Amino acid sequence: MSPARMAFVGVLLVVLTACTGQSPPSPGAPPAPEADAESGRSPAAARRLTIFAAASLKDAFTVIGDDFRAAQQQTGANAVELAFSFAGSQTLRAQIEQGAPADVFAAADPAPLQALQAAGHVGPPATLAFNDLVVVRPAATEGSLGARTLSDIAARGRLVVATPEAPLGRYTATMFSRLEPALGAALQARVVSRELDARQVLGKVLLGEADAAVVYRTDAVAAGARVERVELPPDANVRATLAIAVVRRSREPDLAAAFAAYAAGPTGQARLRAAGFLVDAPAEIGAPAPPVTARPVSGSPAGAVP
Amino acid sequence: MGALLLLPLGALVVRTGPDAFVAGLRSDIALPALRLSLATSALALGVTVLLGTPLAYRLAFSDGRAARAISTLLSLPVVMPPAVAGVALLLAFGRFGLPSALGFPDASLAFTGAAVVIAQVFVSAPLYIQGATAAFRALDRELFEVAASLGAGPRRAFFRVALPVARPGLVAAGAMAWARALGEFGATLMFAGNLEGVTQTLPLAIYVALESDPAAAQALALVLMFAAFGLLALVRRRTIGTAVR
Repeated sequence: MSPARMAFVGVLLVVLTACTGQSPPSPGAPPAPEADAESGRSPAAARRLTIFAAASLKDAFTVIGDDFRAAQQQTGANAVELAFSFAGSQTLRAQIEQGAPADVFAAADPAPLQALQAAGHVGPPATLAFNDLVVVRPAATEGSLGARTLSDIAARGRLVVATPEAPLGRYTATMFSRLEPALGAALQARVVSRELDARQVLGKVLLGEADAAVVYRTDAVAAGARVERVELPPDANVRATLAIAVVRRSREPDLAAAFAAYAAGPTGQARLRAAGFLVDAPAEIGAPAPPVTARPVSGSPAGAVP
Repeated sequence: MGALLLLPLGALVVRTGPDAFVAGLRSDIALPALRLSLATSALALGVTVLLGTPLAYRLAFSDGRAARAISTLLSLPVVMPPAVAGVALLLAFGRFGLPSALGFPDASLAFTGAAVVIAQVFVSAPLYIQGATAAFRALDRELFEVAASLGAGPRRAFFRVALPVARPGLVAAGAMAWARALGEFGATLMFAGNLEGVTQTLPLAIYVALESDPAAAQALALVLMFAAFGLLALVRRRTIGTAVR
């Protein structure tokens, strides 16, 4: 290649890098705790809470955190500082097992919490909210790429799902197995990539590289008008249970319990519903999480967006 | 320093143990991933050496401002966060990138084996170009004057003088680039996706296994380490042999 040509390619790359704007977090890097904006200057007596939460809870928990801090301030108590670490539930579970300084852990399915509870790392989990699956496709694509139904996708779409090691991938596999066998097999054959977590699955649709993807309903809500939803047959859908528990090693056990109760309480539930979670069963802190991790949903959960 | 570099490697070997290592080798995902990793990284190295060597030669003997700017630009992929590199590759070679600009709408290299190789070349070629440029720069200019006085044209001087004399440096640069390609993770995941037997290279298989079976992941990591160590050792021996001869 001539130097002029290389220079052109180089400039192109610089422009492309600039265009990507906010980059997704490097999948190889350990999840960095997203420190709160105000935690730079800490008043001497501020109480500090580190919250580990599933990646799908990011939007809802960020808002709930603000609410919680404001509510604590109104009681006249010392200021509260919150630090969040959002990542895959299995990753967070492994980190807590290795002694990560978490106070509260909210997981995308009950299994990691149950394992942690059995090992004495966390207290009894409480049900936080529910999630289920939708198929999304890029809103912009037209014509041959506009796969409108599951059969369209099975006929000629590039489908991206989550890897079976992630809860989303496991739910997706269950969903495929509940579809009509021919349709389920045809969809499986259309899978071009098994991404490591829900946000990466969604990302492939937002970039227009995938014609369709199976994601959590909350991911579809978060993506807003950039994606269109292809609803699944209700009897094939899978309901995921999110649960929350207080970490036993917490240095602020009361405050941790208060946050867990707040997230499972009326304000938290309203925020979770706004983020697309299903919260039809009001949960109480201390109540055991349902033992079944996935069960069919009777009737399509409508009204995910308030 | 040595302890800092070697302790993690030692811990990986000691904590995994031979039984887990064998079990990891036998796991379903290990061999397809290892095969894919070796094939794609070898291809990436071939492309890098073939296109990178003439470029490095040219850059080594150009002192202009343009050449320096190009050198700097070409090393950008090394400092780019891997995920950013992956997105950039998607934008360049994905559905709305080069293919559609060339009149092939809907065509996309994403999620293919070619995408794996492109991602590896993208992150590893800058290392080779830097190393090779340095190797060519270190050549004694008098060699070329002698070659020219004996009637060798530029092409002949390149093949008969520059390449053989710079070879140890080129091989070392190639080994670094190959190792970087073998370990490539972030850009591959973004651009090529993760599908067993098609785009799931060993680093991706290791990361996926980490979620379900940390023991298998450790074993796979050992496989990757031994493969890299073996090939680097081979390269070293051959290079040193050449240099002595």
